[in-house]
Amino acid sequence: MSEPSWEEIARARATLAGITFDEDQVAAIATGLGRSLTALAEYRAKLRSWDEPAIAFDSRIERQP
Amino acid sequence: MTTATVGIAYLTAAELGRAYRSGELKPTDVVRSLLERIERLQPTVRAYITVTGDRAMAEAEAAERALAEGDTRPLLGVPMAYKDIYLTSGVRTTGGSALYEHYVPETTATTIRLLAEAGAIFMGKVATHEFASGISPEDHPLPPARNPWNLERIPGGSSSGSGAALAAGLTMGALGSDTGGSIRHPGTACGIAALKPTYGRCSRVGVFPLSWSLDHTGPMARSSEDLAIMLQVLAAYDPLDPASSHAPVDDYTATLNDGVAGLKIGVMRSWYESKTHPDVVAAVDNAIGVLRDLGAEIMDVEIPNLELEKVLSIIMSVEAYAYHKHDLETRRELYPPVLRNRMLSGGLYSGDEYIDAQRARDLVCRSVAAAMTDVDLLLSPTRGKTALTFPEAYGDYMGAVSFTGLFNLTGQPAISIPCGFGTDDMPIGLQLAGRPFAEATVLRAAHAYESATTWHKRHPTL
Repeated sequence: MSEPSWEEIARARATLAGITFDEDQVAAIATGLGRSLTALAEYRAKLRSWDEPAIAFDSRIERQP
Repeated sequence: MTTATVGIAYLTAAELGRAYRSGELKPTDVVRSLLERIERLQPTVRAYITVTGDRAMAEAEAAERALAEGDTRPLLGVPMAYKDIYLTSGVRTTGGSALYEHYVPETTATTIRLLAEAGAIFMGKVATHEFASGISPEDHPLPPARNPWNLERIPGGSSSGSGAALAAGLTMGALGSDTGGSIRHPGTACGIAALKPTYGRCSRVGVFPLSWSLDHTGPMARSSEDLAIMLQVLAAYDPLDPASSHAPVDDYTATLNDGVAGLKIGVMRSWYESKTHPDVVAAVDNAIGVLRDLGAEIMDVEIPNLELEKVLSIIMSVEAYAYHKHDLETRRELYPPVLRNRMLSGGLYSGDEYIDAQRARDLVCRSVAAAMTDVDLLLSPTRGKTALTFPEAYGDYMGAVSFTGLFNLTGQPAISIPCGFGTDDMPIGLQLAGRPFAEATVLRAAHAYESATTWHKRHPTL
């Protein structure tokens, strides 16, 4: 069985979330979703359970008192 | 009249201040001249959504009296325009949206209050992409601003009106906001100076949010000197903004003339070169040569994990969806289709994907921070090519090559300054990013570059 397309993934996720897109916008939505999740998959491929970043309330700048 | 008007229109805020104090110019003459120019150019450039002419003239008269009494405030009598996602008490604030087309707030954004206290004149509210996202369609109730360099091109965005108004000579300074590049993109597209300060450096109170963990406010101007003057006023702790920082505020103008000798500048060539138009690569290479000649130590840098910066779109989408969800459910028809669907797409991501995007962001932040132990500044183009045409932008605005979002993820200060023109006669921007809260270094390097070049002094024929 072939991998589902980004458009199929977008449609399945929309159904699950109860979101209705305008039909002529689905292709653009699927493109954006594909770009984002591909980048995320690259990160997940680098995961190491012992050194992966923990999430913090604000990890970008030093917290001020 | 035309020559004199153009001469006033393209003065910097610093030049204006000197002209006021030498008696060469008066605020009322400047504001009157700009209002005439706005009236003439508004039908084509469409930079403004609301022009507050009477208020501007009244404030100019007050500034004139203050100048006569020896008032030394840094922005006294300097015309300013504000992106229409900044709340302004008593003045319509649309967010660029039909949802707020007639909304008149009762409060004013902290940053605008600070500029007013420093003497700035409120010229009006300028165009924005709707809710600082994407690009508004031509048939929108609040149609998009056009690029003064070529009216067939977009002026960048989402701070589109701020960039267009500066490039067209319709204000001396402006405020923008930047979630993925929305200050720096119009900076490069319109050939002006534009600074995204460090996350938490400038207040976001009273500004429509797009994505809380990525949103920044900041100044847009005609030179890095003007940005320094504006930032000096804007950089302040705001207890009402949970991201606001207590970090000490440097004297941004004191070090402006210190030059770049001894500064280490890391060129992110392997990150940008293959994705960037040859015109832009050539302009940036020339800029690198100028900075080297000025004494900067130039070195190529390789930073791992930069490909992960694309997770910005997950963070932005999910946070924007959280903010807009109620309106998307109850006033769906008031969003234009492209924006509505893009906002809705934030609901497609799972909780674990959002969390992992933030964790990937942390990895990016650590990678960039490690690289910056060896350099003072990172250098790249601002965008991969010059300003898009409107049809190109409507086709795939979010897919265009940009080098700005990385510094929204890391929160570092980043500036865009003009560094040349493409073969299409459109401006090209150079991006310099510094360590967190090192705006003084960023501005100092930008000012040194501007002092050795004339790109920022070119203006479109209008």
